[in-house]
This record gives sequence, C-alpha cells and structure tokens, in this order.
Amino acid sequence: MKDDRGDAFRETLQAACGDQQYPEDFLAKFEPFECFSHNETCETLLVKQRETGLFYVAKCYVKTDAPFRTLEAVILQSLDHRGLPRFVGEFENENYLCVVREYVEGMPLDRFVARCKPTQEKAVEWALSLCDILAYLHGRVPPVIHRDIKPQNLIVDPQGELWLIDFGISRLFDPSKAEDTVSCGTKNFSSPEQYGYAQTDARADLFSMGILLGWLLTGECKRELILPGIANRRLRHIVEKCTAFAPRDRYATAARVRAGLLALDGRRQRRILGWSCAVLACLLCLGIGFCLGRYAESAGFLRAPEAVVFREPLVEQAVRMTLGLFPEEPLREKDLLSVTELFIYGDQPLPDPESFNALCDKRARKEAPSPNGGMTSLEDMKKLKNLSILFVAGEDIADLSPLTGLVALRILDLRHNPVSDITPLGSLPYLAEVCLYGTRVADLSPLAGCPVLTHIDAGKTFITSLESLQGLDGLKSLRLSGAPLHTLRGVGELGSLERLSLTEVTDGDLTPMLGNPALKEVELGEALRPATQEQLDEAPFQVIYR
Amino acid sequence: MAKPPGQAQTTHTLQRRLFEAPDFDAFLQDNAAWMTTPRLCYYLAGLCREKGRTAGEVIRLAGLDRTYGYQLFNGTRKPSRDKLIQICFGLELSVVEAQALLKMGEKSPLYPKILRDAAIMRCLHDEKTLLQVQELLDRLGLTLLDGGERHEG
Repeated sequence: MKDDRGDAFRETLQAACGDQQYPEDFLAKFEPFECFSHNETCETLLVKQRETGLFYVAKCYVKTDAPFRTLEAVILQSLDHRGLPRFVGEFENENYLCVVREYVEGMPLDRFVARCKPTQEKAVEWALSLCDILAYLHGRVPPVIHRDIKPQNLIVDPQGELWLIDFGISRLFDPSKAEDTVSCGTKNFSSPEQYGYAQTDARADLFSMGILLGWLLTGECKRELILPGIANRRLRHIVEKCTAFAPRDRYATAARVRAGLLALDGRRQRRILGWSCAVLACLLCLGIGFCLGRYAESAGFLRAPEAVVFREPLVEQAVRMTLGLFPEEPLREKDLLSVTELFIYGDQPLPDPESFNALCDKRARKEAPSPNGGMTSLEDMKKLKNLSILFVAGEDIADLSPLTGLVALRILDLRHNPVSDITPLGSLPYLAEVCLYGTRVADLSPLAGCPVLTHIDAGKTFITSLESLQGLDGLKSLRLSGAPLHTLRGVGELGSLERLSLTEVTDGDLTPMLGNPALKEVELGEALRPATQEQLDEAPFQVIYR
Repeated sequence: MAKPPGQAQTTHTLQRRLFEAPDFDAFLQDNAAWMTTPRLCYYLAGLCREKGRTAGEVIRLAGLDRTYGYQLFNGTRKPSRDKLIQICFGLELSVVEAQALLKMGEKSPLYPKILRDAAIMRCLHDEKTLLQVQELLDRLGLTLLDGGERHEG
C-alpha cells in the first residue's frame, strides 16, 4: 500500500519537476544530483552513476530546431590526455542531448584567482599546462579547436593541476549565445576572427590563451589594458604575439608559445642554479657538512627532475629544437607530449618541413653533401606519443616496429633508409602521406590497413606491381619513379587516383591507366614517350615527361 | 538581523550598522553576508539567533556529527552541499532562505527540475524534519542526504 502511494507520489513529483524529460537510458544509468549552471539552451548537471556511486558531469542541451551535429562527440571520444576530462557517453531523446564526461573536483580558474592572485611563476606554469593541452588537441586528426578558452572553462583541481573543460561544445552550438554575466566575459577571450574576420584555426585558441595569460598576470582582460600592465618584457612580448590581430602574426603552434615560455623559465632556472651553486660552494668551503644534508632540497636544483634519456642524440637535438630548449636545459618527460612534429635529415635536425625540403633539393642537386646520420633505431619515438609529422631521412633505419603506437601519425617520410618491411605502418589509423623513396620496400600491401592514406611516394624502391595496393580507395597521388614496375595491372582499381608518376613498365602496356576516372596528371620517364604516344593519344589527363 | 541576500542593502545602511553595533564581531555576525568576503560561519550564527536556536540544537536536528557540526559553525571546516542542506532542515529554513544559505556556502542552489532537489524543496516548503525528507528520498529510490562521499568518476 505504502509502495503504491510512493509510486503515485513519485509520478506526481516527477511530472511536476520535469525530470522525465531527460533521455530514459540516461536516467536509468545516472541520478541527477545537482545543477551547476543552466541557461535557455543547456543545463550542466552533476550526476551520480547508479551502479558505481561515482560522479560525472552531464551537459544536457535542450534540442531546438537547429540541426544537431554529433560528429564532435565522436572526436571527443578519442581524446586521452591529462588535463582533459574523459568522455563517458552520449544520450539523446527528442528533448535533450546529454553528453556525459568525467567530473573534475576543483574550482574554476576565475573563482580560484578571485581568492588567491597568482604569482608570475604560477601564471606561467598554468600557461605551460594549457600549451600542453592545446598542442595535443591541435595535433589531433582532424585538429580539435576549443574556441572557448576562458577562466570559467579551466578547473584547478586540489593538486593544483589545470583541466580544460567544455571543449568542442562551442562548435556544436552558437557561441554568440553563450552565457556570461561574470566580469571577464567570453567576449574578451575570443579572437577577432571568431567574429567572422577570417576562418578560425588553432591560432584562435592561442589568442585566447594570450589573453588568459595576460589576465592572470594583470587581472585585466582587454588586450590594450593587459599589455602596459606586464612588467616582464619577454612575457609582454609573448602575450603580444599570441594576441596579434592577424592570425599570421601570432605564434604558429602551441608548442612555439611553450618554447617561448620555457626560454623565459630557463633563464630564471639558470640564474637560480647559479646562485645555488655559489651558496653550496661556500657551504662546502666552510665544511658545514650537516648543512648539506639539511638543505638537500636546494641541491635538487642541480639535478634535472625526471630527466629524459634518448638513445639517439639526433632525436634529442630535434626534440630540443622543436621545444626551443637549449642543450643544457632539462628536458622533462611531460614536455615530450607537446612534440607533434620532428624533422631529421642525415646528420641534421631541422625546425620545419620547409627547411627539410630545401635541404632535400640541395642534396638532390648535389649542392650539399649528404652525410648519413647514422641513426639505427626509432625506439625514441615511443616517447613522443603525440607525434603527427615525422621526417627521418638518410639514416640506417630498418626496423619500423617502434612506430606502431604512434596513432596520431599523419605524415611520415623515411626516404633513404634501408627499410624493407613496412608491416608496422598498417596499424596507423590516420596515416595520410608516406614517403618511402630510396628504401628497399618491395611490398606495399601493409598500407591497405591505413584507411585515410592519400599520398604514397615509393620512388626508387623495389616495387614491381600495383596489385599490392588493392583497397586503397582514397589514394590520390602515387609516385613510382625509378621503381622496376613489371606491369600497370591493378591501377584501375585506385578509383581516386589523380597523380601518378613512373619511369618504367616492363610489359610496355600503359592502357590500364585509362581506367582511372579521376586521373589528372601523369609523369612519365622519357623512355616511355614512344609507347605513350601510341597508347595514350586520347587520354583525358595531362602527360609530362621527365 | 541578517536578511537573506537578494534584498536590496545599501552601503549607507551597512555603514550605519557598523557604527551602531556594540562591537565589530557583533556587526560581522549580523552583516557578514553583505561584505565582499562573506564568512559562512558568521552567517550561520546570525541565522541561529534569528531562529532562536543554539548551534548545538541545529547540529542535532540536522543529524550532523557533533564535532563536525561545531567545526562548521566555528568556520574551521567547509560543509559539502548535502551537509548544508541538512543544516537547512536543522534551522527549519524556508526554500528562499535555504537557497540563500546555499549561495552563501558557494553551492549550487536547489534546482526544481532535478527530482532529488524537488523532493528536498517540497519538504522544506512543508516544514518536514530531516528524518521525513530522508524517508521520502528513500521511498523515491534517491540518494539520501549525505548518502555517500562524492567521488570523481
């Protein structure tokens, strides 16, 4: 009887409170517990998982007539980084879309700072944490741009670590509708191009980060008020460059901002190091042994914390170049998460793909010597989990197995290495471009495991047939100059192919190319000119001879 | 007497009270809520006086552990949201007063769209006791007040 009354009461109360409007499967799994914030379009709830008693955060979006894009949730699911709450699930009915994520206990940065104004060191430390997070997000495929970086979306947890929340959402929803009655509104933190001056990219986030750093340092959130308020000249320059009106005048990547901030830090650390050494030397001279024991902490300055050791000196040099670290500066394990690009050719680490290509051209024209760098292993790459572009050319690398775990890898250049087995590349889900020029590869079939592959350069390899390329439906460019091709059979299967280059075909039959509907440009060796004129006279694509 | 936030309070009245109060502590006890850095414990003390209850009585009616309760009242400990809601029952606050206390404690206000919050609001409105609200929550299959620590998922 009592239960009946309970049920009836429950129904009345539920009907009155509107709790049942949330998706049924969401309510079956989670008990709504607290409402952190709400506006017309969205409610942020603290929810308790019924099964485990653990707490999560649910963003419940009120569905409107505007079309919903759920692709974002798919991207968010793949994110795994310290400082980003884990995505838990997505629930939907006709009223709501509820996105559930990990709950981070802590305080939003705006409230935290209102109680306790940060020192310059703390501000820089937070900016560095944010750089790490952004380098990771921007290095994803496709890049994840937050577009709503502001103190309210950064949480300081009880350990003092920074978390970035509510990302991707601003892409799902109209940011102009965002709440904000707080003194430092969203408006000041958004880059000018977010108001439609230009296409937004990763540099929009760097703008917001610059304002954030300036706000931490000065308490102001308008660029023109921040800049005069920063006493440290180098820091002022960093904030100024982050917040330049035109995106092209800003830092190109979060890793570069990080490098700038670390350079600032490095100078300070060296100064502290210098003083610590002097003090320690004095103490030693005085022979006060116990003091050394007691002040062992200050001796800690002399040791680099969690120092990273690389097997290949060239990799370390390239990593330091990317991060903007001097040779004597300590390199920490967590710094490595910011490394998304690495360029090495022979004995030289290079800062960007442009310098890499320039050196390639010089060496190809024999204007510069081509010394082999002598690297034998890619083992060090395992430490660079967020690597997205890797160029390692002119070394002695044969084993590619260390690349297996680099799931973010997008562009790989291994030219002039004694590689013959490329099986490990088949496990790279985002690999889009691969250069194997001048390697000993004879079989390309493992690349069938790379669903988004668009470019292959397998010039001067041992490839004899195209049949091993079955399944590469998205391939747009295939270079096989200098490869001893026996036949072109199978080229017709590559339905998206737009560019092809080759210098020899033993069976002399070029007609299979005519089966490629998308083909625009074919580059052929001079030796094939007679055969071409005979067979490809009315080909719909352009033919170039080299 | 401290009034719940939300009602207009001019700087002028605040200043008048500052000089009318017998000493600064007494002023703070009644007016802390209006200061830029409000102290929850002063606010609680003001509410106790307003309701004619001692801290001990409130702690007992709120079902709080004695030591823990006194730590909340003397400001050495910050209460969780559920503990603050328990205090609302200990003080027999109205819904409006309860919302004000939660705001003062920097906790989310009760949100009527959440079934659990709705049940709590209804019990406050009907002047139920802590035991009665717990019974209702249990009957509805919801987490009891202070029913388990908050853990990150």
